[in-house]
Amino acid sequence: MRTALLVIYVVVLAVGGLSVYLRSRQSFEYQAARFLARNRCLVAGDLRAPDLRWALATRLPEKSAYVGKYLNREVSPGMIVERENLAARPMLTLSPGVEAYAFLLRESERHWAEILEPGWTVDLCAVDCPLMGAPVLAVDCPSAAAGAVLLQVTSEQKHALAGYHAKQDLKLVVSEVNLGGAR
Amino acid sequence: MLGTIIEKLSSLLSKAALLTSFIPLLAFVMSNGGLLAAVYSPFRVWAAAQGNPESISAGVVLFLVASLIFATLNTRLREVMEGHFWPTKMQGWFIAAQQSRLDALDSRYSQLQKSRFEIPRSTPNKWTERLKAARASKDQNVGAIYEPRGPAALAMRTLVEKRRHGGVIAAAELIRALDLLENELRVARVSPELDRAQQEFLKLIDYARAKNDNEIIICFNERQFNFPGQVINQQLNAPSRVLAPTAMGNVALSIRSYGLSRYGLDIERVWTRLQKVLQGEAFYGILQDAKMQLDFLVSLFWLAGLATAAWLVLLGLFGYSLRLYLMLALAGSLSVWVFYRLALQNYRAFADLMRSAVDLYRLRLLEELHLALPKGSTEEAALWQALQNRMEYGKDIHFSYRRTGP
Repeated sequence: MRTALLVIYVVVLAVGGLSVYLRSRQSFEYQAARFLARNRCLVAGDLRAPDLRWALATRLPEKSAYVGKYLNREVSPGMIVERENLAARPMLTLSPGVEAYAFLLRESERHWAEILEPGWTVDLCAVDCPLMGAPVLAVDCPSAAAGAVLLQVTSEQKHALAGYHAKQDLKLVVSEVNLGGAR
Repeated sequence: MLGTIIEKLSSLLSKAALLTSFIPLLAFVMSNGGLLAAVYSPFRVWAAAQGNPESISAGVVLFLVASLIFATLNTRLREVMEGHFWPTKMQGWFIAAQQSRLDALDSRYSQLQKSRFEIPRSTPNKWTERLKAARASKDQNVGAIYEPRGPAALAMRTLVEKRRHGGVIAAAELIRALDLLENELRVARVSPELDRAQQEFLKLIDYARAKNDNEIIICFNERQFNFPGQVINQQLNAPSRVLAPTAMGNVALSIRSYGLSRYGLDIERVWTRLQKVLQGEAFYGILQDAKMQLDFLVSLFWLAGLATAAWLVLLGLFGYSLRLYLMLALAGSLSVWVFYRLALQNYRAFADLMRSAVDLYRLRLLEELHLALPKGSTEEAALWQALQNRMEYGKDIHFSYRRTGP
């Protein structure tokens, strides 16, 4: 009797185990809540968790494993954000004749870190605008200690900025926005 | 925080309810809640939002009510473990298994008793005399030698190994070795090996006797403490034994059968009255402690079983981690088995205390009922039978009361 019960128990366990095993081969991943540009620093709101209402022990990583990391490719809304596409630093690929220019955000301008997206174009203006139509390459994460915006500039633009008389008064102005679709 | 809550509640709950219901339930809720939070993120989010005092108060009150309800269920849960409320067919299957266990025990007991009568009780004895005589009568074949790999040496080696490992040596095994050794002593030249074998055999007789006697006691106690004894069926006037479907049920029955077979006292009928006699005695405290330990383990068994079953079903249906499933299957099953074995062990100790209570306090109960003490065991059995028939069935049986005081 005891053996029979034990056998039944083991069989039921094995059936359950097989069902769990088959399910465990599916993986749960976060999806992009909106268009995520290349070199964007991820924030929690960028990630949409999958439906976990009927799922136990899914091995879905914590969002903290993603937040603060830079995407090395763009992700369309609803697509999976894969961890292998994340990097600790933005990856810059500059074409010949252009270089990166770091524009440090003042304390009063830190909100730009939450607004700006790589791929947008900005102007730097004071009395006039020594830099116009510079593409944003990357933006420091909003949580970073010092915020900076990396801009793609030509040698001439860089030279113009270096010699600009009111450099400390330069302000950032968005000139073009890329929302992942039509501009 | 938790310590304070437990301390406050311990003044509201009885010690028994605290130990047998509140603490096991608390451990159950905390461990399962923790596990659920670890594997189910919506629950984790919900639990994290429940930190306000109103939620905590509601939780504590709800938990207290649940633990009091659980305390009242403990007896029923133990009865289920004893085999009550089971479907008849299922009871039959399990009783058959219990009957096989009992038959095996009875058969072993009979074999041990048979060996007891066959193994000589003293030295020298007929076996040692046979060896001596065989050794003395060897002139014909002085050329033969005692083969260290021969059947006699092999049989001796087997028995020596059994002794070395603390095994039981049956009389039949000794007799077989005796026959072989006797033959060797008769035909072979006395060598140091043969001499040693003869000496060894004498030691084996002593060992087998002592071991056999010890096993008889163990076997008898196992039978006594784990199964009901035979009691006289009043209607049939024949011995009868009713088995329960589970080991725990049979331990419970052994308490009743002990009182019936020894004194004609049915503990189930007089227990409440006997409890009144026991109250105020130090022994009653010991009995209550044993009962509390038993109830505590019964609670743990059911809660562990419930949790394991629930988790295995939930993970089987919605789980994504095979490792967690296997860990729970293993740890859950193991804990249920361990709690059952511990509960059974405690039940045996509790049953022994109950039997002792019958031995020690039954005559005090008669005094409390103002009845004269019986002169002997036969009269006592008749008295209990008559008393139970009057108390339970209202049979018209006359009793003379013993006057107390001036």
